[in-house]
Amino acid sequence: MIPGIEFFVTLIVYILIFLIVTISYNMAYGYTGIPDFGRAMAAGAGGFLCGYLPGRLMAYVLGIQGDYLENSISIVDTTNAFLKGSPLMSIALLALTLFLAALAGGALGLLASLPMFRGIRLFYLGVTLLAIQIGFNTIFYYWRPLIGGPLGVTVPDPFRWLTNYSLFGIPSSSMRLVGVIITSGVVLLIVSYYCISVSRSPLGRLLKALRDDEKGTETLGRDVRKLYIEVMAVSYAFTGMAGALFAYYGGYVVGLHFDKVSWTFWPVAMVILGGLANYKGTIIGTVSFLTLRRLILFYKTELEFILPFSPVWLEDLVLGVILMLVLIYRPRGLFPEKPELTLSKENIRKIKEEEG
Amino acid sequence: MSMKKELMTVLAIVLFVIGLGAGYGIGVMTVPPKEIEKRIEVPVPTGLTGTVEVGVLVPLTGGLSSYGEDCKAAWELGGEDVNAFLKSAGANWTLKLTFEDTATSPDTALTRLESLIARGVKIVLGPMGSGEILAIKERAEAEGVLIISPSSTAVTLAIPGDNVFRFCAIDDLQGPAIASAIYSEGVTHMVSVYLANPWGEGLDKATSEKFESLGGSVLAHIEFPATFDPAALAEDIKTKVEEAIASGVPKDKIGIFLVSYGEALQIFSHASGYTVLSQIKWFGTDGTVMLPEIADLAGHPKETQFALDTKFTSTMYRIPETRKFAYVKEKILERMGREPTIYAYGAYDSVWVVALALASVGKYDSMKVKAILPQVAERYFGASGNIVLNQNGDLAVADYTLWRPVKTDNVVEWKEVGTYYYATDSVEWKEGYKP
Amino acid sequence: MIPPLFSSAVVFANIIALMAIACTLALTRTNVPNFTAATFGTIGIYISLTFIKLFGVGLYPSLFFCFCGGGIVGVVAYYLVVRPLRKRGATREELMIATLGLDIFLIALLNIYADYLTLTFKIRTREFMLRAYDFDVGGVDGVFIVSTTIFFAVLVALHLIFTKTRIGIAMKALGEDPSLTECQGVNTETLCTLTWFLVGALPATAGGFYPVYWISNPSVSLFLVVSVFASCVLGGFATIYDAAAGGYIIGLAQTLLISYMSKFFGSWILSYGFFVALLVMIITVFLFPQGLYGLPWNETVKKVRKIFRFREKPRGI
Repeated sequence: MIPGIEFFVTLIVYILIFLIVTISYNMAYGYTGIPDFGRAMAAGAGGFLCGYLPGRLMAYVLGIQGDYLENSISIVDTTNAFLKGSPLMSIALLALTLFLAALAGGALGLLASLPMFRGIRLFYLGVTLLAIQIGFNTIFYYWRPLIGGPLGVTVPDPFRWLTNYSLFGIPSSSMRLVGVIITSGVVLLIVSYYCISVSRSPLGRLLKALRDDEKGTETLGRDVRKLYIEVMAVSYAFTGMAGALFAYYGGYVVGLHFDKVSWTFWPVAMVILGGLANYKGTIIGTVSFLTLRRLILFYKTELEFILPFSPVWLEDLVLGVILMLVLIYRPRGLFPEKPELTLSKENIRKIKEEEG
Repeated sequence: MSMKKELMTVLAIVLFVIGLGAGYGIGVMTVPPKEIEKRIEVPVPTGLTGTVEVGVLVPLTGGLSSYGEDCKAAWELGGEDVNAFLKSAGANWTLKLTFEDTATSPDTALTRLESLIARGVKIVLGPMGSGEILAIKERAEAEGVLIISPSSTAVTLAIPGDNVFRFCAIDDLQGPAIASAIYSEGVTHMVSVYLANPWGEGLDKATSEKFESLGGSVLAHIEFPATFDPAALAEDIKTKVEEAIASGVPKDKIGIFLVSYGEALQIFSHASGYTVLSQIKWFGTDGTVMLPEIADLAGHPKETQFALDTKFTSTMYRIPETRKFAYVKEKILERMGREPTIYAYGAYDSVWVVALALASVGKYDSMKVKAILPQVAERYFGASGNIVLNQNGDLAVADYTLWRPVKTDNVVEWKEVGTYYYATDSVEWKEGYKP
Repeated sequence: MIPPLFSSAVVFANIIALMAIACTLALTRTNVPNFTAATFGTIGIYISLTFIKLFGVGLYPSLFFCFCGGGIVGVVAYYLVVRPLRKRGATREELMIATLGLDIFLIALLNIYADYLTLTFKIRTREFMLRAYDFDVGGVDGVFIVSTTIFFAVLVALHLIFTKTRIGIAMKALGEDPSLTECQGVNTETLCTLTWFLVGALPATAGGFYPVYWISNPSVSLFLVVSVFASCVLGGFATIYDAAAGGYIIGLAQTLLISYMSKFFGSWILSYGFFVALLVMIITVFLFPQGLYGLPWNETVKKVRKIFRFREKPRGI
């Protein structure tokens, strides 16, 4: 069986959303050296917000009575019917949620940078953030009033209005995916523009200096704390938007989502494989890993005949092996970071010539 | 250095292209060769050709895995029988069932559904758990995917007009059944211990309401998540029971209502350490009925003994024993070495109903199939009897049988000990098992 | 007759403490933050299952194989992953990410193994319990007796090894100053290998106890690893005694304390059992990052020792 258009469309959605995650992660880890193993909660901030807010907001706006969590399915159904007929409302809801998701992410990023104030770095920092992330997800999984606890909650669909149309021969039911792709693409452009500009600017060099020698940077008079806070807040805000997009795409949110394996460990692997502090590498790392994962899922039945074991486990085997191999043999990634040139190549060449 | 980088870039791109190419190649190699013979003989006039793929979401791991195995065998049997029928009818298409493991996790169910959708599948049998259906429902609606579950019974999913059909009775019917059984056993005070998911909550609510309306009282509702500590839970239950005894309620009037899947095993294991808990009656649901481990003296002595001591009674919805029923039971007994769970029959039937609907529609159009599904189901008399669906797309059947592990000559097995009749809203216990 | 809750809590504490000891050894001796601490336990679970169901070996005799098997896997992990990384001078975080990759890999392998066992031998390898293979002594479960005994035996044995034997002392030195140890002519390779044998063997043995009381799966380690890491952090990643104490505190708190609190706060708190481990870890990191090790034990110990007139124990084991 050959991958149909559905496969590629889903793949593109995943690539766009996860590129937001990995690019903002690279800014925090690759450039600034913050080993954040709790990144999944940044996505969770936006995603769980989608579970909490849009439904209730729409219920309020539409004047639907009744306890939200009790009747979430019927409330969301009614909301979707309304949204289907109102493109304006749908877009407004989407924009508002994305904005709020960024805010929520940013706030969480601020909190997440707290351990750094206690002087906690490196390994302890990674483990602490991981522990906080697990706690974060656990609360959303068990505490009923938030997003329905273990039952989870359905999310209103701001893309449903697109199914009224059918462009370029795309079936109307797939039109909402087009909407997801366009929105994610726009967010990705904003995020990439910001991150890549930072990397090319003096700020980028400053972050690298911070990563390589924190004490030195502090001695030179830079406010290290402020930098850490900013980096965490901004990268968390971006990832929060990715989480919100993912929640809208799936249409259902529960505390099990935005788990550490898919939203922290795989992105870490993608960033490391691509090369730290190198966005080209991040893009290639993200695209190749996601494609690989989706292909494994897609060819599951065919793989069943080839492999001596169930292909369900292939993903994890591959992830584990790649992490180990990359770290042992190419820890700088496929595209190792080049040393930072403070003078242009021209000037360096001139100086070299002058020196003889 | 820049040469190396160029090289690496090129290498990465080449690998990527090779990967896609390999994928394409595998795809081409595994596509079955096209049928060359012309269909000159005019058999069943249908527009379907080749392999028609239907997805199956089944829990092969996790709390529902033993039920998942049964239903998988039933679905497979259904697929084989349907294909044999199609062949003898000279049809141009065969049915292919693609199984995906949901691991009894709503999250995994959604990922698996995605991969099915990516393959172009629009009709899905299963999933078995209500939590799983809740997770995939919205996506299924958005993508026009039809879902037919043989075993989800949560009341919250009884929604008219949606894409979810369930070939089994739902819990607002099971609740009263269990509550009546509990009350009929002389229990007036019960503790409800339930798994934190839509099914568990729904049953807790339905059963408690009926129990209270009969005159009983619910001492406590204890909710436990999938990752729970069984020792602490058993301790908690014991505390509640002791409080009741201290306030004057006699032991034989106290009961524990357990709403769980395979977690019952752990709970029994730890509860068996408290004498007081094995001196009162325990009740279960369709989530624990026919659980092999608690009818297994050799492999799980403590837990089985506990089930025996507490006269652990569980419900199962009742279907008439037709010829088809006996056939499916026989076949699965052959393949699995044990009788199938009640949901296997609905699973078997769903394959037939879908196939017949597809043949009538003449093309792979899930929404057209959805439109005629209730009518096809009604005209089909299968292993689970007459499948009459109500306006929510759920089965309108009502009676429940009561089962309990019973020991005869050192052998323990699940035996039918009574029936709850919807029509009379009463329980009839079999000879020898009257309370 | 021991209340089931107490028995369960102690066995859990024993398991966590043994794993915490191994995890601390990996960090202090070989500078590796070991993510796979709990997964070696799962390896133990499945070795035990194999020997019980396939070879008819009893539950407790099979612990011997768990010990050896876990040790072998630990050594293999050292040679394939840890050694190459240390050779090229990897940082602690890189080692941690690598062990994370190893952890994910091992869990996938365990799942494959579980599938294989089920298909070939028709035994239940998921959601299973091995309570039936335990014995009973006057109302006390065998697992309670055996796991506690083994825990203390291991602690005593390690204490003796690290203080009395040459190899043990060398291992301790390795942790404190690897280059200096090498200068002394000690073969650091052998020491690291031995350390990783323990890093694998101890959790595997602990894993042998797990299925007696709890339902087992290839992925149980994902729950246990939080408690194990929290215990190590609480202990301060320093001595094995602190790790053991940390393990016991976390293990008992997660079961007994939560159960006790549910009497006041209601049953809902039972769901938050493993939250205790998280909270302890976060509080420790924020308030006293040195963990138990950093607390002024030594003065107290010295005073106690003076009372009993024991010889001064070398510091920093």
